[in-house]
Amino acid sequence: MNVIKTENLKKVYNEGKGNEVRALNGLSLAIEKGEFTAIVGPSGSGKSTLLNIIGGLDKPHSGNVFVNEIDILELEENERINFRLQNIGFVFQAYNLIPVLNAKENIGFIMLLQHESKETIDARVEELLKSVGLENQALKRPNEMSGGQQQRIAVARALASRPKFVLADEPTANLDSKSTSDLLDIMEQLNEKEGITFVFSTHDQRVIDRARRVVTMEDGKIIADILQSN
Amino acid sequence: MILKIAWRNIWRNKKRSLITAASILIAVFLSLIMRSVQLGTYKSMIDNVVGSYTGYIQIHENGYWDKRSIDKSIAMTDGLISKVSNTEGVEALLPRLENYGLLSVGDLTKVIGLNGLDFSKEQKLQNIDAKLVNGTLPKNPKDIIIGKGVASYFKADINDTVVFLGQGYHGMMAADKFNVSGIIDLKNPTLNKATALMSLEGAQDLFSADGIATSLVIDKKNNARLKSLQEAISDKLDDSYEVMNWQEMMPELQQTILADNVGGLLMVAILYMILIFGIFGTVLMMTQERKYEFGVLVSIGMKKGKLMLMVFMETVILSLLGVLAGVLLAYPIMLWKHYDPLVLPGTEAEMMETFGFSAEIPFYIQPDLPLVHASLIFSIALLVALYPIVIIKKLNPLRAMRG
Repeated sequence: MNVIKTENLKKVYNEGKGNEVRALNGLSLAIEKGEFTAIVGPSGSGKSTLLNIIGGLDKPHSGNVFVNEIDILELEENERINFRLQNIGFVFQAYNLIPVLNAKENIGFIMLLQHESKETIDARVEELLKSVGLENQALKRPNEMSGGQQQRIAVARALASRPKFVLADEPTANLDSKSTSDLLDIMEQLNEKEGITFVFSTHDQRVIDRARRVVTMEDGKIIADILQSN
Repeated sequence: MILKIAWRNIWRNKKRSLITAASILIAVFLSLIMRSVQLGTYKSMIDNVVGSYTGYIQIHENGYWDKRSIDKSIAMTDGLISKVSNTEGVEALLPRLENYGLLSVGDLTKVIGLNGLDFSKEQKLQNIDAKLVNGTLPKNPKDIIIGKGVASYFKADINDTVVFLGQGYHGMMAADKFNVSGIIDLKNPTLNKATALMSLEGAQDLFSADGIATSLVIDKKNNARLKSLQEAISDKLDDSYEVMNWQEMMPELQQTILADNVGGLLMVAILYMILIFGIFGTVLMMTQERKYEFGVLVSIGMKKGKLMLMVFMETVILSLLGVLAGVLLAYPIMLWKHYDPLVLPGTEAEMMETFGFSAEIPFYIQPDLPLVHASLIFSIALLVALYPIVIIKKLNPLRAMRG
């Protein structure tokens, strides 16, 4: 079953001007449940635009985007926000944790927005902290943690609401080798054990090597789509 | 959780938050102290001038105040006294008979206003004893007290004889000689030069106006609920009476207060304008700095309404802290200077007293003052808080995250 399906997506920046950019040029892609997919390509190839559109943060000029067979382009702004909350986990390059909340509160924040009970939140947060190996950092605020630790908390936050899939935009761009490897271990483990679908854009060869599917983009189009066995 | 985040966000930039709260505190503090002095001065002026002679409300025969003629007098019937006395808020009724005439000593003659008073009742309102510079209050109908300016003009002293000549009620002749029992300082040079006081009974006898008064002064505790009391009394009386408050009787005092008050309010308005820009500066910076963060929060699924509430709460909490601190700092000072009033120094004190005002300025402490100003400043803060709300409403999370 396709968790994500895009059809003939087109997105043009600065349309009709001298510096017009065709970020997506008729792109169609289907991602099935449980995939561990890397979207790769040079800068300006349209990776981030694709992720933003799949995540409901941006709209294409034409084409369709289905998430779990729901046409997300038809949703109103508040419905889209709610859809993101219930279905999509985001991991950003710059971690983007809430600076005034500690690790535990950051992970539980999404669930609070979903109006989950305190007990459910506590249990899930504990479980996720264990999954990302940061049980002992639960009460630390982002500025008291390393970049790697913050990104692991960001992954835990993305998973807290049990989303249909996680979108990660260059998740390892700011991490050293050890942190990158740790993070990939965790994401792989969550993918294998819990069947969570991961889609990440990356330049990082270490990430590309660990992905099971690598979709290569150039000029807004898919030029290669390869399944890898690691 | 929203409240928790809002609270913690306030302290993310401690210096900025403290400066903002301090600017609100200073604005509240200054406006409260400034207005407290000003309103205290007005209250003192009203209490001194109005409370000491005119009274807050007077009842006359319709048209008396314009003509000031003894022929427009009211009969002090039991029915009238009982109707007015039973009105809630009336503390006492003071009948007065006021008329004009010539006062003579030897070859000198002077026009004066002769007022017949019930001294036992007037004592509470006017504290006449304390105003006597020489002699005693009239002990019989033939005793008279003269203003110190009148005494000086006639070079008259205690136990001297003065002659009054004038017109009584409905054209009756009013002439008699009186014994000066006291000399009074009415704290007003004009009044001192043209006023004499005697017992109501003596004046009624002189003017052939038995049981008659030109005005019935209502004594009440203070200026509060003046209009409602005036209306309540008016409702009980027919059209042959006029019920006037001190503002109608002394419009010049009311206008002086109003003019000065406008100046004070203008100062407060300038203070508030500065405050608006101060708070807005902070909120503007905070909003611009946190656009990226707002974008992230909306991206991960925080509804804009909740985000608006969070940012709104931050401004509300910060403003509340400033407002409360300002009130807590100003109010004890107001209380202290209310019970231990500011006393004007030397010549300024003399000048105030010359014009019938007290040189002491007790600060105004009624709770409406901090309430009004705290609410005003709080409203300003809430108005400023609309800015981030508008920004969030228009926020495109992707554009916000791109900076």
